[in-house]
Amino acid sequence: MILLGFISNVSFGQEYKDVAWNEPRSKDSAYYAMREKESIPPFGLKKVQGLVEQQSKKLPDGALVDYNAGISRADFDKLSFEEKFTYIMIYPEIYSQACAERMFVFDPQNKIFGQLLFVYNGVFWSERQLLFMKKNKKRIIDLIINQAIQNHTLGLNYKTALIEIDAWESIPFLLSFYQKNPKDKDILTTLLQLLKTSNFGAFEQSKIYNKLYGENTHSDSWINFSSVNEEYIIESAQALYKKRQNQ
Amino acid sequence: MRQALSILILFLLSYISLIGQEKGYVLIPGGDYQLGDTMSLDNPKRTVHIDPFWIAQYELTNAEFEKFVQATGYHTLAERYHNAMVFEPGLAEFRWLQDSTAYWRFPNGVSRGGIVDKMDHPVTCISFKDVLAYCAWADCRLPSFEEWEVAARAGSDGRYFEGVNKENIGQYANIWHSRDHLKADYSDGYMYTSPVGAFKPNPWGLYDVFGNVFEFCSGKLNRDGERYVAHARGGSWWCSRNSCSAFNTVYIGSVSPNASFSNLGFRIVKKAFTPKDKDF
Repeated sequence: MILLGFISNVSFGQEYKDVAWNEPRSKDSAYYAMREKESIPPFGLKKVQGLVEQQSKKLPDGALVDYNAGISRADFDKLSFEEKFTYIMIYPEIYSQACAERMFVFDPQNKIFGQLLFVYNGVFWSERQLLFMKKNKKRIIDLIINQAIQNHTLGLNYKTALIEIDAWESIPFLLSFYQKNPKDKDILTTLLQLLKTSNFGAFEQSKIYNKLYGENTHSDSWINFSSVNEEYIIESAQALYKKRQNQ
Repeated sequence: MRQALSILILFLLSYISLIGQEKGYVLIPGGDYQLGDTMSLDNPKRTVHIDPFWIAQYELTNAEFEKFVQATGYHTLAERYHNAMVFEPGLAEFRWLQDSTAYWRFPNGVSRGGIVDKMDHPVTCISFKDVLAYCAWADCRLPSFEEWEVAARAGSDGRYFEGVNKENIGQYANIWHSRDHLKADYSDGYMYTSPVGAFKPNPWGLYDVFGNVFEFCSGKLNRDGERYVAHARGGSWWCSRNSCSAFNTVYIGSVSPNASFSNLGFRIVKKAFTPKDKDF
Protein backbone atom coordinates (compact mmCIF):
# COMPACT_ATOMS: atom_id res chain seq x y z
CA MET A 1 0.00 0.00 0.00
CA ILE A 2 2.79 2.36 0.97
CA LEU A 3 4.51 1.58 -2.29
CA LEU A 4 1.33 2.10 -4.25
CA GLY A 5 0.89 5.37 -2.46
CA PHE A 6 4.40 6.37 -3.40
CA ILE A 7 3.81 5.53 -7.03
CA SER A 8 0.43 7.21 -7.22
CA ASN A 9 2.00 10.37 -5.85
CA VAL A 10 4.10 10.68 -8.95
CA SER A 11 2.31 13.53 -10.63
CA PHE A 12 3.59 15.99 -13.14
CA GLY A 13 2.84 19.45 -11.94
CA GLN A 14 5.30 21.97 -10.56
CA GLU A 15 4.59 24.82 -8.34
CA TYR A 16 6.60 28.01 -8.02
CA LYS A 17 7.46 28.44 -4.36
CA ASP A 18 9.01 31.83 -4.66
CA VAL A 19 10.42 34.03 -7.33
CA ALA A 20 13.71 35.36 -6.06
CA TRP A 21 15.00 37.48 -8.83
CA ASN A 22 15.48 41.11 -9.56
CA GLU A 23 13.28 42.32 -12.35
CA PRO A 24 15.21 44.21 -15.02
CA ARG A 25 14.86 47.95 -14.70
CA SER A 26 12.18 49.34 -16.96
CA LYS A 27 14.66 51.41 -18.96
CA ASP A 28 16.73 48.27 -19.61
CA SER A 29 13.63 46.40 -20.79
CA ALA A 30 12.64 49.32 -22.98
CA TYR A 31 16.06 49.29 -24.59
CA TYR A 32 15.76 45.57 -25.31
CA ALA A 33 12.33 46.20 -26.83
CA MET A 34 13.89 48.83 -29.07
CA ARG A 35 16.66 46.42 -30.10
CA GLU A 36 14.07 43.82 -31.07
CA LYS A 37 11.76 46.11 -33.00
CA GLU A 38 11.29 45.35 -36.67
CA SER A 39 10.38 47.81 -39.42
CA ILE A 40 7.33 47.15 -41.57
CA PRO A 41 7.55 48.57 -45.09
CA PRO A 42 4.36 50.20 -46.35
CA PHE A 43 4.66 49.22 -50.04
CA GLY A 44 1.64 47.12 -50.99
CA LEU A 45 1.45 45.89 -47.42
CA LYS A 46 -2.19 44.77 -47.58
CA LYS A 47 -1.69 43.10 -50.94
CA VAL A 48 1.33 41.17 -49.66
CA GLN A 49 -0.44 40.20 -46.44
CA GLY A 50 -3.35 38.97 -48.56
CA LEU A 51 -1.06 36.80 -50.68
CA VAL A 52 0.51 35.29 -47.59
CA GLU A 53 -2.92 34.57 -46.14
CA GLN A 54 -4.05 32.90 -49.37
CA GLN A 55 -0.92 30.77 -49.33
CA SER A 56 -1.62 29.67 -45.77
CA LYS A 57 -5.15 28.62 -46.71
CA LYS A 58 -3.78 26.44 -49.52
CA LEU A 59 -1.71 24.43 -47.06
CA PRO A 60 -2.68 20.78 -46.89
CA ASP A 61 -2.66 20.65 -43.11
CA GLY A 62 -4.56 23.27 -41.18
CA ALA A 63 -2.43 22.53 -38.15
CA LEU A 64 0.64 23.90 -39.86
CA VAL A 65 -0.09 27.39 -38.68
CA ASP A 66 3.33 28.81 -39.39
CA TYR A 67 4.52 26.64 -42.21
CA ASN A 68 6.75 28.93 -44.21
CA ALA A 69 6.70 27.67 -47.75
CA GLY A 70 6.50 31.18 -49.13
CA ILE A 71 4.35 32.45 -51.95
CA SER A 72 4.76 30.94 -55.41
CA ARG A 73 7.41 32.16 -57.80
CA ALA A 74 4.67 33.40 -60.15
CA ASP A 75 3.01 35.44 -57.38
CA PHE A 76 6.37 36.80 -56.30
CA ASP A 77 7.27 37.83 -59.87
CA LYS A 78 3.99 39.72 -60.23
CA LEU A 79 4.85 42.00 -57.31
CA SER A 80 6.51 45.36 -57.91
CA PHE A 81 10.07 45.77 -56.64
CA GLU A 82 8.90 47.66 -53.56
CA GLU A 83 6.22 45.04 -52.84
CA LYS A 84 8.84 42.29 -53.11
CA PHE A 85 10.83 44.21 -50.51
CA THR A 86 7.79 44.35 -48.24
CA TYR A 87 7.19 40.62 -48.68
CA ILE A 88 10.77 39.77 -47.76
CA MET A 89 10.81 42.05 -44.74
CA ILE A 90 7.58 40.69 -43.26
CA TYR A 91 7.64 37.07 -44.40
CA PRO A 92 10.90 35.13 -44.01
CA GLU A 93 10.47 31.75 -45.69
CA ILE A 94 12.54 29.21 -43.80
CA TYR A 95 12.83 28.02 -40.24
CA SER A 96 15.60 29.06 -37.91
CA GLN A 97 16.58 28.19 -34.38
CA ALA A 98 17.03 30.46 -31.43
CA CYS A 99 19.35 28.55 -29.10
CA ALA A 100 18.80 31.09 -26.32
CA GLU A 101 18.21 34.73 -26.92
CA ARG A 102 17.14 36.14 -23.62
CA MET A 103 20.16 36.29 -21.36
CA PHE A 104 19.84 39.69 -19.86
CA VAL A 105 22.65 42.21 -19.71
CA PHE A 106 22.12 45.02 -17.26
CA ASP A 107 22.43 48.55 -18.54
CA PRO A 108 22.37 47.48 -22.21
CA GLN A 109 21.93 51.08 -23.36
CA ASN A 110 25.51 51.70 -22.28
CA LYS A 111 26.95 48.70 -24.09
CA ILE A 112 27.96 47.99 -27.64
CA PHE A 113 27.14 44.43 -28.62
CA GLY A 114 29.15 42.43 -31.13
CA GLN A 115 26.04 41.02 -32.74
CA LEU A 116 22.48 42.09 -33.25
CA LEU A 117 19.68 40.11 -31.63
CA PHE A 118 18.22 37.29 -33.71
CA VAL A 119 15.81 38.85 -36.15
CA TYR A 120 12.35 37.25 -36.37
CA ASN A 121 11.38 34.41 -34.09
CA GLY A 122 12.00 30.95 -35.48
CA VAL A 123 12.18 31.97 -39.13
CA PHE A 124 14.72 33.55 -41.45
CA TRP A 125 15.15 34.56 -45.08
CA SER A 126 15.39 31.73 -47.59
CA GLU A 127 18.13 31.47 -50.18
CA ARG A 128 15.85 32.94 -52.85
CA GLN A 129 15.04 35.91 -50.61
CA LEU A 130 18.68 36.52 -49.76
CA LEU A 131 19.63 36.19 -53.41
CA PHE A 132 17.01 38.74 -54.42
CA MET A 133 18.37 41.24 -51.89
CA LYS A 134 21.98 40.64 -52.93
CA LYS A 135 21.19 40.94 -56.65
CA ASN A 136 19.37 44.21 -56.04
CA LYS A 137 21.72 45.51 -53.39
CA LYS A 138 21.70 49.18 -54.38
CA ARG A 139 17.92 49.46 -54.62
CA ILE A 140 17.45 47.56 -51.35
CA ILE A 141 19.89 49.91 -49.59
CA ASP A 142 18.04 52.93 -51.02
CA LEU A 143 14.68 51.61 -49.82
CA ILE A 144 16.02 50.93 -46.33
CA ILE A 145 17.63 54.36 -46.14
CA ASN A 146 14.47 56.15 -47.32
CA GLN A 147 12.29 54.22 -44.92
CA ALA A 148 14.64 54.82 -41.99
CA ILE A 149 14.77 58.54 -42.68
CA GLN A 150 11.02 58.75 -43.07
CA ASN A 151 10.26 56.82 -39.88
CA HIS A 152 13.26 57.97 -37.81
CA THR A 153 14.03 54.37 -36.96
CA LEU A 154 16.09 51.54 -38.39
CA GLY A 155 14.46 48.24 -37.42
CA LEU A 156 16.30 45.05 -36.58
CA ASN A 157 15.27 43.47 -39.91
CA TYR A 158 16.67 46.44 -41.85
CA LYS A 159 19.96 46.34 -39.94
CA THR A 160 20.20 42.57 -40.47
CA ALA A 161 19.47 42.98 -44.17
CA LEU A 162 22.28 45.53 -44.51
CA ILE A 163 24.69 43.09 -42.91
CA GLU A 164 23.45 40.16 -45.01
CA ILE A 165 24.02 42.01 -48.29
CA ASP A 166 27.35 43.44 -47.10
CA ALA A 167 26.07 46.98 -47.55
CA TRP A 168 29.33 48.87 -47.01
CA GLU A 169 27.86 51.52 -49.32
CA SER A 170 25.42 52.41 -46.54
CA ILE A 171 28.19 53.41 -44.11
CA PRO A 172 27.83 57.21 -44.63
CA PHE A 173 24.09 56.92 -44.05
CA LEU A 174 24.60 54.76 -40.93
CA LEU A 175 27.04 57.29 -39.51
CA SER A 176 24.74 60.25 -40.07
CA PHE A 177 21.71 58.29 -38.85
CA TYR A 178 23.61 57.34 -35.70
CA GLN A 179 24.42 60.98 -35.02
CA LYS A 180 20.69 61.72 -35.06
CA ASN A 181 19.81 58.57 -33.10
CA PRO A 182 22.71 58.07 -30.69
CA LYS A 183 20.57 55.98 -28.36
CA ASP A 184 20.47 53.17 -30.89
CA LYS A 185 23.86 51.56 -30.21
CA ASP A 186 22.94 48.70 -32.54
CA ILE A 187 23.82 51.04 -35.39
CA LEU A 188 27.40 50.79 -34.13
CA THR A 189 26.93 47.01 -34.02
CA THR A 190 25.81 47.10 -37.65
CA LEU A 191 28.98 49.01 -38.52
CA LEU A 192 31.05 46.50 -36.55
CA GLN A 193 29.48 43.64 -38.46
CA LEU A 194 30.23 45.34 -41.78
CA LEU A 195 33.83 45.78 -40.65
CA LYS A 196 34.00 42.13 -39.65
CA THR A 197 32.51 40.90 -42.93
CA SER A 198 35.08 42.94 -44.84
CA ASN A 199 37.99 41.29 -43.01
CA PHE A 200 39.32 44.78 -42.45
CA GLY A 201 42.90 44.18 -41.38
CA ALA A 202 43.42 47.00 -38.90
CA PHE A 203 40.11 46.27 -37.21
CA GLU A 204 40.96 42.58 -36.83
CA GLN A 205 44.08 43.56 -34.89
CA SER A 206 42.19 45.80 -32.49
CA LYS A 207 41.32 45.23 -28.84
CA ILE A 208 37.66 45.79 -29.66
CA TYR A 209 37.72 43.00 -32.23
CA ASN A 210 39.34 40.70 -29.72
CA LYS A 211 36.72 41.48 -27.08
CA LEU A 212 33.79 41.05 -29.44
CA TYR A 213 34.91 38.38 -31.88
CA GLY A 214 38.11 36.92 -30.44
CA GLU A 215 38.84 33.47 -29.06
CA ASN A 216 36.75 33.72 -25.88
CA THR A 217 33.71 35.48 -27.23
CA HIS A 218 30.16 34.36 -27.97
CA SER A 219 27.00 35.72 -29.53
CA ASP A 220 26.23 37.95 -26.52
CA SER A 221 29.68 39.53 -26.20
CA TRP A 222 29.77 43.27 -25.61
CA ILE A 223 32.03 46.18 -24.76
CA ASN A 224 31.17 49.18 -22.64
CA PHE A 225 30.02 52.22 -24.49
CA SER A 226 32.58 55.02 -24.27
CA SER A 227 33.46 57.94 -26.47
CA VAL A 228 36.79 56.26 -27.22
CA ASN A 229 35.12 53.05 -28.41
CA GLU A 230 32.50 55.01 -30.31
CA GLU A 231 35.13 57.09 -32.04
CA TYR A 232 37.19 54.03 -32.95
CA ILE A 233 34.19 52.32 -34.57
CA ILE A 234 33.21 55.44 -36.50
CA GLU A 235 36.76 56.07 -37.74
CA SER A 236 37.22 52.41 -38.71
CA ALA A 237 33.94 52.46 -40.62
CA GLN A 238 34.97 55.62 -42.44
CA ALA A 239 38.31 54.03 -43.34
CA LEU A 240 36.56 50.87 -44.57
CA TYR A 241 34.23 52.93 -46.73
CA LYS A 242 37.13 54.80 -48.32
CA LYS A 243 39.04 51.59 -48.92
CA ARG A 244 36.14 49.78 -50.56
CA GLN A 245 35.20 52.81 -52.61
CA ASN A 246 38.67 52.78 -54.11
CA GLN A 247 38.66 49.07 -54.88
CA MET B 1 9.35 -0.58 17.21
CA ARG B 2 12.35 1.52 16.26
CA GLN B 3 13.97 -1.55 14.68
CA ALA B 4 10.83 -2.31 12.68
CA LEU B 5 10.74 1.27 11.44
CA SER B 6 14.41 1.08 10.41
CA ILE B 7 13.73 -2.10 8.47
CA LEU B 8 10.76 -0.49 6.74
CA ILE B 9 12.82 2.59 5.81
CA LEU B 10 15.64 0.34 4.55
CA PHE B 11 13.13 -1.64 2.50
CA LEU B 12 11.66 1.53 1.02
CA LEU B 13 15.07 2.95 0.19
CA SER B 14 16.08 -0.31 -1.51
CA TYR B 15 12.85 -0.26 -3.51
CA ILE B 16 13.34 3.33 -4.56
CA SER B 17 16.91 2.56 -5.49
CA LEU B 18 15.74 -0.42 -7.57
CA ILE B 19 13.24 1.76 -9.40
CA GLY B 20 15.97 4.30 -9.94
CA GLN B 21 18.04 1.67 -11.61
CA GLU B 22 15.26 0.39 -13.81
CA LYS B 23 16.83 -0.31 -17.15
CA GLY B 24 17.16 2.84 -19.18
CA TYR B 25 15.49 5.15 -16.67
CA VAL B 26 16.61 7.20 -13.71
CA LEU B 27 14.31 8.13 -10.86
CA ILE B 28 14.57 11.83 -10.14
CA PRO B 29 13.65 12.49 -6.53
CA GLY B 30 10.89 14.93 -5.76
CA GLY B 31 11.61 18.04 -3.71
CA ASP B 32 12.31 21.73 -3.81
CA TYR B 33 15.02 22.74 -6.26
CA GLN B 34 16.76 26.00 -6.98
CA LEU B 35 16.56 26.57 -10.72
CA GLY B 36 17.28 29.30 -13.26
CA ASP B 37 19.73 32.15 -13.37
CA THR B 38 19.47 35.74 -12.21
CA MET B 39 20.40 36.99 -15.68
CA SER B 40 17.86 34.96 -17.60
CA LEU B 41 14.55 36.45 -18.66
CA ASP B 42 13.25 33.08 -19.79
CA ASN B 43 14.47 31.13 -16.82
CA PRO B 44 14.79 33.38 -13.76
CA LYS B 45 16.32 32.15 -10.53
CA ARG B 46 13.65 30.60 -8.34
CA THR B 47 12.76 27.65 -6.16
CA VAL B 48 10.51 25.05 -7.76
CA HIS B 49 8.80 22.03 -6.27
CA ILE B 50 9.08 18.90 -8.39
CA ASP B 51 7.34 15.58 -7.89
CA PRO B 52 9.42 12.44 -8.49
CA PHE B 53 9.58 11.19 -12.05
CA TRP B 54 11.44 8.67 -14.18
CA ILE B 55 13.47 10.04 -17.04
CA ALA B 56 15.30 8.16 -19.78
CA GLN B 57 19.04 7.83 -19.29
CA TYR B 58 19.57 8.37 -23.00
CA GLU B 59 18.16 10.49 -25.76
CA LEU B 60 15.68 8.54 -27.88
CA THR B 61 17.52 6.65 -30.61
CA ASN B 62 16.88 6.07 -34.29
CA ALA B 63 16.24 2.40 -33.49
CA GLU B 64 13.50 3.32 -31.01
CA PHE B 65 11.91 5.80 -33.39
CA GLU B 66 11.99 3.21 -36.16
CA LYS B 67 9.84 0.87 -34.02
CA PHE B 68 7.23 3.62 -33.80
CA VAL B 69 7.28 4.21 -37.55
CA GLN B 70 7.09 0.49 -38.32
CA ALA B 71 4.19 0.01 -35.92
CA THR B 72 2.14 2.98 -37.06
CA GLY B 73 3.25 3.87 -40.60
CA TYR B 74 3.71 7.42 -39.31
CA HIS B 75 5.12 10.03 -41.68
CA THR B 76 7.00 12.91 -40.09
CA LEU B 77 6.37 16.50 -41.09
CA ALA B 78 9.72 16.60 -42.92
CA GLU B 79 8.59 13.65 -45.06
CA ARG B 80 5.26 15.27 -45.80
CA TYR B 81 6.38 18.83 -46.46
CA HIS B 82 10.04 18.44 -47.45
CA ASN B 83 11.03 21.40 -45.34
CA ALA B 84 13.74 20.05 -43.03
CA MET B 85 16.74 22.15 -42.11
CA VAL B 86 20.19 20.59 -42.38
CA PHE B 87 23.79 21.52 -41.78
CA GLU B 88 26.98 21.18 -43.76
CA PRO B 89 30.37 22.74 -42.98
CA GLY B 90 30.94 26.07 -44.67
CA LEU B 91 27.81 27.79 -43.47
CA ALA B 92 27.93 31.08 -41.59
CA GLU B 93 27.13 31.05 -37.88
CA PHE B 94 23.50 30.17 -37.07
CA ARG B 95 22.80 29.41 -40.71
CA TRP B 96 21.08 26.20 -41.87
CA LEU B 97 20.04 24.89 -45.28
CA GLN B 98 16.62 23.73 -46.32
CA ASP B 99 16.90 20.25 -47.87
CA SER B 100 13.84 18.66 -49.37
CA THR B 101 15.41 15.19 -49.15
CA ALA B 102 16.05 15.31 -45.41
CA TYR B 103 14.01 13.41 -42.84
CA TRP B 104 14.88 11.26 -39.85
CA ARG B 105 16.45 8.46 -41.97
CA PHE B 106 18.61 11.07 -43.74
CA PRO B 107 18.83 13.80 -41.13
CA ASN B 108 21.15 16.01 -43.16
CA GLY B 109 19.76 15.11 -46.55
CA VAL B 110 20.32 12.10 -48.79
CA SER B 111 23.61 13.45 -50.14
CA ARG B 112 25.11 13.61 -46.62
CA GLY B 113 24.35 10.02 -45.70
CA GLY B 114 21.77 8.04 -43.78
CA ILE B 115 21.45 6.40 -40.39
CA VAL B 116 21.86 2.71 -41.34
CA ASP B 117 25.01 2.48 -39.22
CA LYS B 118 23.74 5.04 -36.71
CA MET B 119 20.74 3.31 -35.18
CA ASP B 120 22.16 3.98 -31.71
CA HIS B 121 22.37 7.72 -32.37
CA PRO B 122 19.60 10.04 -31.22
CA VAL B 123 16.80 10.48 -33.71
CA THR B 124 16.81 13.95 -35.28
CA CYS B 125 15.13 15.83 -38.08
CA ILE B 126 11.81 15.35 -36.37
CA SER B 127 9.51 18.18 -35.38
CA PHE B 128 7.95 18.82 -32.00
CA LYS B 129 4.65 17.59 -33.40
CA ASP B 130 6.30 14.33 -34.50
CA VAL B 131 7.66 13.95 -30.98
CA LEU B 132 4.20 14.34 -29.49
CA ALA B 133 2.94 11.67 -31.89
CA TYR B 134 5.70 9.35 -30.68
CA CYS B 135 4.85 10.07 -27.05
CA ALA B 136 1.16 9.32 -27.66
CA TRP B 137 2.10 5.98 -29.20
CA ALA B 138 4.71 5.04 -26.59
CA ASP B 139 2.62 6.24 -23.62
CA CYS B 140 5.35 8.54 -22.41
CA ARG B 141 5.80 12.29 -22.29
CA LEU B 142 8.40 15.00 -22.54
CA PRO B 143 9.98 16.46 -19.42
CA SER B 144 8.81 19.92 -18.46
CA PHE B 145 11.39 22.74 -18.50
CA GLU B 146 11.81 22.36 -14.76
CA GLU B 147 12.03 18.55 -14.74
CA TRP B 148 14.65 18.62 -17.47
CA GLU B 149 16.68 21.16 -15.53
CA VAL B 150 16.49 19.25 -12.25
CA ALA B 151 17.60 16.04 -13.99
CA ALA B 152 20.37 17.84 -15.89
CA ARG B 153 21.77 19.66 -12.85
CA ALA B 154 21.87 16.43 -10.83
CA GLY B 155 21.95 18.27 -7.53
CA SER B 156 24.22 21.10 -8.63
CA ASP B 157 23.05 24.69 -8.39
CA GLY B 158 25.26 26.03 -11.15
CA ARG B 159 25.08 26.19 -14.90
CA TYR B 160 26.64 22.76 -15.22
CA PHE B 161 26.40 19.58 -13.20
CA GLU B 162 29.21 18.84 -10.77
CA GLY B 163 32.59 18.24 -12.33
CA VAL B 164 31.85 20.09 -15.55
CA ASN B 165 33.09 23.47 -16.65
CA LYS B 166 33.46 25.20 -19.97
CA GLU B 167 36.97 23.82 -20.33
CA ASN B 168 36.31 20.10 -19.78
CA ILE B 169 32.77 19.89 -21.11
CA GLY B 170 34.07 18.03 -24.16
CA GLN B 171 34.42 14.91 -21.97
CA TYR B 172 30.71 15.01 -21.21
CA ALA B 173 29.15 16.41 -24.33
CA ASN B 174 29.28 16.08 -28.08
CA ILE B 175 29.62 19.73 -29.05
CA TRP B 176 31.31 21.81 -31.74
CA HIS B 177 34.88 22.70 -30.78
CA SER B 178 35.96 24.93 -33.66
CA ARG B 179 35.83 28.70 -33.65
CA ASP B 180 33.19 28.76 -36.39
CA HIS B 181 31.31 26.34 -38.64
CA LEU B 182 33.22 26.97 -41.84
CA LYS B 183 35.11 23.66 -41.65
CA ALA B 184 34.09 20.24 -40.35
CA ASP B 185 34.92 19.60 -36.70
CA TYR B 186 35.74 15.98 -35.87
CA SER B 187 37.95 16.84 -32.90
CA ASP B 188 35.81 14.77 -30.49
CA GLY B 189 35.26 12.05 -33.07
CA TYR B 190 31.90 13.28 -34.33
CA MET B 191 30.81 16.12 -36.55
CA TYR B 192 27.08 15.42 -36.31
CA THR B 193 25.47 13.21 -33.64
CA SER B 194 27.33 10.56 -31.63
CA PRO B 195 25.92 7.26 -30.32
CA VAL B 196 23.92 7.92 -27.17
CA GLY B 197 26.03 7.38 -24.06
CA ALA B 198 29.36 7.88 -25.85
CA PHE B 199 30.36 10.64 -23.42
CA LYS B 200 30.50 10.71 -19.60
CA PRO B 201 27.17 10.84 -17.74
CA ASN B 202 26.06 13.37 -15.16
CA PRO B 203 26.20 12.32 -11.47
CA TRP B 204 22.66 10.93 -11.65
CA GLY B 205 23.50 8.72 -14.62
CA LEU B 206 21.98 10.71 -17.46
CA TYR B 207 23.98 10.81 -20.68
CA ASP B 208 24.18 13.61 -23.22
CA VAL B 209 22.17 16.13 -21.22
CA PHE B 210 24.54 18.64 -22.75
CA GLY B 211 25.28 18.46 -26.45
CA ASN B 212 24.51 15.73 -29.00
CA VAL B 213 20.95 16.95 -29.61
CA PHE B 214 18.76 19.69 -28.21
CA GLU B 215 16.03 17.94 -26.23
CA PHE B 216 12.44 19.04 -26.70
CA CYS B 217 10.67 19.88 -23.44
CA SER B 218 7.10 20.79 -22.65
CA GLY B 219 6.40 24.30 -21.43
CA LYS B 220 5.61 27.83 -22.48
CA LEU B 221 7.61 31.00 -22.01
CA ASN B 222 6.14 34.41 -21.29
CA ARG B 223 7.55 35.75 -24.52
CA ASP B 224 5.66 33.13 -26.57
CA GLY B 225 2.47 35.08 -25.98
CA GLU B 226 -0.31 33.50 -28.00
CA ARG B 227 2.15 31.89 -30.40
CA TYR B 228 2.61 28.14 -30.45
CA VAL B 229 6.35 27.72 -29.93
CA ALA B 230 8.35 24.59 -29.19
CA HIS B 231 11.28 24.67 -26.80
CA ALA B 232 14.36 22.53 -26.44
CA ARG B 233 17.27 22.44 -24.01
CA GLY B 234 20.84 21.31 -23.46
CA GLY B 235 22.55 22.37 -26.67
CA SER B 236 23.65 20.10 -29.48
CA TRP B 237 26.56 18.86 -31.59
CA TRP B 238 26.28 22.12 -33.50
CA CYS B 239 26.73 24.38 -30.44
CA SER B 240 30.12 25.92 -29.75
CA ARG B 241 31.58 28.14 -27.07
CA ASN B 242 31.79 30.96 -29.58
CA SER B 243 28.27 30.70 -30.95
CA CYS B 244 25.41 30.07 -28.55
CA SER B 245 27.10 28.06 -25.73
CA ALA B 246 23.65 26.55 -25.20
CA PHE B 247 25.05 23.44 -23.53
CA ASN B 248 24.07 24.44 -20.02
CA THR B 249 21.18 24.16 -17.57
CA VAL B 250 19.94 27.71 -18.02
CA TYR B 251 19.19 28.37 -21.67
CA ILE B 252 15.87 27.52 -23.25
CA GLY B 253 15.88 27.37 -27.03
CA SER B 254 12.91 28.12 -29.27
CA VAL B 255 11.81 26.74 -32.59
CA SER B 256 8.63 26.35 -34.61
CA PRO B 257 6.73 23.19 -33.61
CA ASN B 258 6.62 22.31 -37.31
CA ALA B 259 10.36 22.65 -37.90
CA SER B 260 12.70 19.68 -38.27
CA PHE B 261 16.40 20.25 -37.68
CA SER B 262 19.22 17.72 -37.63
CA ASN B 263 20.24 18.79 -34.14
CA LEU B 264 16.82 18.50 -32.49
CA GLY B 265 15.81 15.32 -30.66
CA PHE B 266 14.25 14.30 -27.38
CA ARG B 267 14.42 12.33 -24.15
CA ILE B 268 11.31 10.79 -22.68
CA VAL B 269 9.72 10.64 -19.25
CA LYS B 270 7.55 7.71 -18.20
CA LYS B 271 3.90 8.43 -17.79
CA ALA B 272 0.43 7.40 -18.75
CA PHE B 273 -0.72 9.82 -21.41
CA THR B 274 -3.69 12.01 -20.51
CA PRO B 275 -6.35 13.49 -22.78
CA LYS B 276 -4.98 16.92 -21.92
CA ASP B 277 -1.64 16.14 -23.51
CA LYS B 278 -3.35 15.00 -26.69
CA ASP B 279 -4.81 18.48 -27.12
CA PHE B 280 -1.47 19.71 -28.40
